[in-house]
Amino acid sequence: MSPTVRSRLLASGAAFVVGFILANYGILRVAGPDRWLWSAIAVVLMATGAIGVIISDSPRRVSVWAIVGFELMVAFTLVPLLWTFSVATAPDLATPTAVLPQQVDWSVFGDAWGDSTYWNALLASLLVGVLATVISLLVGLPAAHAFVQNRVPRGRQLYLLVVALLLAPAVVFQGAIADQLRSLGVISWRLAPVLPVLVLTIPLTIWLGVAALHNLPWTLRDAIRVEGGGWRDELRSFVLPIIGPNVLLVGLLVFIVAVNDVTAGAVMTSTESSRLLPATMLLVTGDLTYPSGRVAAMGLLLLIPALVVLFAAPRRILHLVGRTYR
Amino acid sequence: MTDIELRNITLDLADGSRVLDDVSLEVPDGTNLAICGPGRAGKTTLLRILAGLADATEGDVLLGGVVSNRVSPRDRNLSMVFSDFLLHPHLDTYDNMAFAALLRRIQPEDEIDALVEEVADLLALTPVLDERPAKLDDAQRQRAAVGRSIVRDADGYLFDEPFAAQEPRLRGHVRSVTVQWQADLERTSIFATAHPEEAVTLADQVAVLNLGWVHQVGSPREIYDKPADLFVAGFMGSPAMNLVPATIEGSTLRLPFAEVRMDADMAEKVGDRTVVVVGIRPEHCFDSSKSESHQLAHPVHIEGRVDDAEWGGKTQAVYLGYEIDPDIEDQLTAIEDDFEFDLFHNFFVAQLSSDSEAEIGSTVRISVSAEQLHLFDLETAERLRAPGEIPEPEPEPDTEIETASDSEADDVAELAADQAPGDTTVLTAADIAAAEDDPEATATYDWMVDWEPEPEAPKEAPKFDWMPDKDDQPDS
Repeated sequence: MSPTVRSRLLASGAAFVVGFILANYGILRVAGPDRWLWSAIAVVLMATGAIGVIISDSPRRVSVWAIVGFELMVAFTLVPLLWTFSVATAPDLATPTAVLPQQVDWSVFGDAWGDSTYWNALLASLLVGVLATVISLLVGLPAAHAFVQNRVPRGRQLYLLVVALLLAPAVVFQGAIADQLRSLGVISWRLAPVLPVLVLTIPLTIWLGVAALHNLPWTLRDAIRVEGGGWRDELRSFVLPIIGPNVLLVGLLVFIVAVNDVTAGAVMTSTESSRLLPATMLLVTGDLTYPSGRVAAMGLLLLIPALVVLFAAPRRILHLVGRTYR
Repeated sequence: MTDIELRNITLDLADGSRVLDDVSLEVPDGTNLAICGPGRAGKTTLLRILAGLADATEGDVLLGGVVSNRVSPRDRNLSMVFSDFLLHPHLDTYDNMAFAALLRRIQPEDEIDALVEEVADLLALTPVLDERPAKLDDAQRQRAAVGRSIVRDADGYLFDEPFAAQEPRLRGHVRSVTVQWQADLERTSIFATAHPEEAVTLADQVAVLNLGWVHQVGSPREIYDKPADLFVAGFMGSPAMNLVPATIEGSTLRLPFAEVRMDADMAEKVGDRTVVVVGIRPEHCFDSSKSESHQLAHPVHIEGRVDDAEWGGKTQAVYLGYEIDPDIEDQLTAIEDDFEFDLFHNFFVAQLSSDSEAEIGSTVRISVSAEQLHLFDLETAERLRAPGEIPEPEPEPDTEIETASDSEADDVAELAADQAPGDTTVLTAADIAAAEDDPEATATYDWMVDWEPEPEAPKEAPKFDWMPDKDDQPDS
């Protein structure tokens, strides 16, 4: 038995066992319509196991482990999303009894849209996100360019430091910055959260920027210059069409991360004007007087920009992030 | 249309390393120059300095006789083909080819359209004119880059390895189209290439460059016939020239596998040296058993065991192994270290006709004219003597160029005349030597390491009744 066949059979067995456990759990312990949800996931996994056994000897390049992993990831993503949707669309702001939505009431989205708390937080998040993104791009992209062009002495060590900053718990830095802002008396300013957000977004911009600017045909500028082009031609023929899309994408990703920065939001919760959306949602989730359906609706609304970016340029995002991981 | 001149160009990097060392080149208006050298020779850097994309530490760039060091790349009106093509990824082939011409805003658009279509047709790019570079293969991308350059009406053209990515089938065609186009327009062109055979077919003049230093500038013929030094001799030519160390003993030049009696001119060039390097081009070697070798003037015979043979259609490259004298090897290594180039090998390459018998492991006998020998100094690596520099042999016997094998050639002719009518057997020097029991002509040298005579070999030249057996011949 070849290692590939053994691996496929092992993955098929694992999928079947997990599916079998989920099916039993769903049938025995889950009541109501959710039993079908559990059963459906179980059936998909068990079917994957069965198909995996059948194709185990196939010459085609198929990884059964990858298929099982993808199915589990979809289940772990979709179930919470379904629950959030059910909470948001439950009639009369009642707590739903099942993950699968029973009755859909769209009015809560309108309420969330008109909620001043939501709007304040959204506005603060957008302002902070835009400003942090602009500053990060202005600071981070030249740094990334310097890394790409090998113009940084001890560049490898410095780049490692950048990655280490990304991996470090942000609260270590952001808490200290919040304390400084508090002592300066500017903690309540609407744009005050920009500083703690930058702790995360600048290293992220450099990291993504290196991936985005790497492998670009920089010497194309030489060709343009030799062929008689000036800086306008460089801008028109190199910067805008070749660098532009990558920079735009880095900006969008950094913006989304800035808006979603929960830690920065959490350390800047002293006043409502500077409170960011993720922090607001965290706070109101524990507040029993605040309708949970509206919080769920806010979360779903916040998801929209990320989905738009993802579906607008899926290949470019995969290319960019793939290169970053390489 | 312009003269291009580089005057004493030197480029030192920040780390102190020298990339170009006092390079001076002149390309008259409307002519071609090929800068030929191996990797790290400085070819690309030189072109970039010419184009204005890099600055020299010292020296001047003259365009049309005017020092242009401070002139921006766009104002030099030179077009350049880069070795990595540098096509615009967001433009299709057509737009890429028209790009440079459109950028100058000098040629009318109708003219550019017609030129692009004509050049695309010549370069076999018409089917992919609507495709972006990502859809093209490297050869097509390179042709598009060449097309972009020649569509534009520039004063001079710089080509950095412009044909390296071309498949053999199209390489010659693209080269010919490019050179012909330049010739028709009477434009000045400089080609940088690592391929000697390309350099000599491309250009009116060839500059051989290595490690930032120009070894020789001359016509392809000059470079081939009279290489200035060991590097030029070893680099220019395909296959490369055999460079074999030889010791001098009196008036005899002793190679590891042959001896050559020096004439007065050769002896004068050699002077009081005890060791020189002898250069023999593989294509100047002939199979001694073939009639063409009998026409050689002052033949030198080389015999050795075939280590390898590469069949190449009309010809074959035959590799004969030999041992390099360990006492000389250090000096050879020092020269190779200086040039950072592999010049000396422990095999001799002969380019023989493909119908020559050269089975691996068998013994072949090769003839080369003594007049085709190049001599180089082992200390300075410079040329002492080239074939074209040999004076005509004088009638006096004491000044006649005489090699150890001269008498053999005469004997071959004499014996051939004595052959019976209709007998087409090709007589080899071995036959004659055996016939006359001449120990020197059939001498077995130390370098014939593994050679064992095989009396029963089926392909051995036929013997006459009156010839003694080879085994009976005395060894030297």
